[in-house]
Amino acid sequence: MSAAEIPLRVLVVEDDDIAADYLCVLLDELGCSASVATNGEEALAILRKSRFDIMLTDWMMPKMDGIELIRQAREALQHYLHVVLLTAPGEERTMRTALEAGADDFLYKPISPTQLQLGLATARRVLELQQRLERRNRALAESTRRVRAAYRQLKRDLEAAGSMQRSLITPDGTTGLVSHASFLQPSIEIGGDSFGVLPLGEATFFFALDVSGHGVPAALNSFAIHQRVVQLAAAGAGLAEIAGEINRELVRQPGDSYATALFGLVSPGTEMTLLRAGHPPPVIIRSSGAAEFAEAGGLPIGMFEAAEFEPCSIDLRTGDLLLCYSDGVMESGMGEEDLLAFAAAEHESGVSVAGRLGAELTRLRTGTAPPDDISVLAIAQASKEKE
Amino acid sequence: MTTVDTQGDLAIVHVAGDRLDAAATAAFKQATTEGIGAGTAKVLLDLSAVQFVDSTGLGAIVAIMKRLPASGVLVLAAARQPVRRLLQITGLDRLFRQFDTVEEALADLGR
Repeated sequence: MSAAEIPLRVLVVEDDDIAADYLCVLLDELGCSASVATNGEEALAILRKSRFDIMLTDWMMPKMDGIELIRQAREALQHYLHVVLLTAPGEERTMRTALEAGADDFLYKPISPTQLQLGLATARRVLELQQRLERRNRALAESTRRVRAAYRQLKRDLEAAGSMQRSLITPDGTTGLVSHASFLQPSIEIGGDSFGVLPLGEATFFFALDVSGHGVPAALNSFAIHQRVVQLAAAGAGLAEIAGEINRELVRQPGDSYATALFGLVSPGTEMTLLRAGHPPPVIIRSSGAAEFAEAGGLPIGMFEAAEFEPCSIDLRTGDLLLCYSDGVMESGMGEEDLLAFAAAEHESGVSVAGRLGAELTRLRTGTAPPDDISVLAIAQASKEKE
Repeated sequence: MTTVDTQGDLAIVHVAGDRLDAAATAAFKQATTEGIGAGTAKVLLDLSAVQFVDSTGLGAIVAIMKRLPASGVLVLAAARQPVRRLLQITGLDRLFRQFDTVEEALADLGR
């Protein structure tokens, strides 16, 4: 039903019975539903109880005049009421005061049917616009509420996923032959970077991962690869086997997703074995203060089915550190030369160099969120680590 | 915007924008998917404008190579130092032929 078909509900406020009756007859003929109040207080009481579209009020009335009624009605009502003041021609000062009090229109006494009809047509247009506005505002408020609720839900889900992902990460400390510390900062709540350190018989195995892209898709992949790496290592696979197997599995997955990774194995009494698959070359920080990249390595995992992975040996002596990091470090504004200089200067920090590098990157970005996930893992020989 | 010029079985991809990162990769992928047809066997990637490639950008470059026929070839021209270093770190410098300029790459492709 359109607004035009609904009879307008009109409240006539008029202390003169005959004038009120005359207005009601005219309004009735124009298809309105009219009620009468004989003074301002009665009018306010009726307006508070029932909803009206229009109030036609006389100006001069005992106790409360029309202007005071308009002022109080405007204050009392939440919804829009079209207010018409009945006045005499030439009462310009009254009309100005009435406008300020909240009158919308004026009709001159004596009221002619045509005058009233024109006034009602104006009122109907204003009421229709007003109703449309109210409906839109309600719809807007509702959709804002839904968007907010959806956003809160998403944020809660992301936080829950983030804490699941963090629970995979090995906490700082000593694992078997290795003491280690880390820094992890995804660009949003969760990300594609992950790492782990786990005992493997008498040896200690560690790895770092960076799945291409960031955000939720990268995190899902990273979560799965992390667990697959742990599974394969626990089953006794060598570094090249782990890289080769995950490479095959990732290549068969749809999409362009791949990962850069670093796998390491520290065995008692021998050198460290390292396999770098597309991951940024880790820095070897010597106890003497020299720092160099461990460049040996090859393709990322998940790019080419035929890729071959070959571990190399690293000579990590007592007091030396291995600093593994994802390319998010470079995106935070620290170039390779800067990283080498930073690492060399930190040669006495032990594995806490990871957290110190993270803090330095945050400082470089002046505290803003990183554009890409950042992970840093520092590794040293446990028993003889220099404190 | 990234543009693709096709000359017979050769497609020359001029990569636009100084960053080929997650934000730019969707448009790059669309341009190369549409511009590199089934008849293309050689792709020349002009990287002269690109200062930075991230992991998604690198994935998109590799995806071009994977779509080419087994006899196909992807060559890179005018890659800047940070991009060259990324290719070196990821071992891809051993899979792609690289040239300092587009002209040298064209000459190598027999054009």
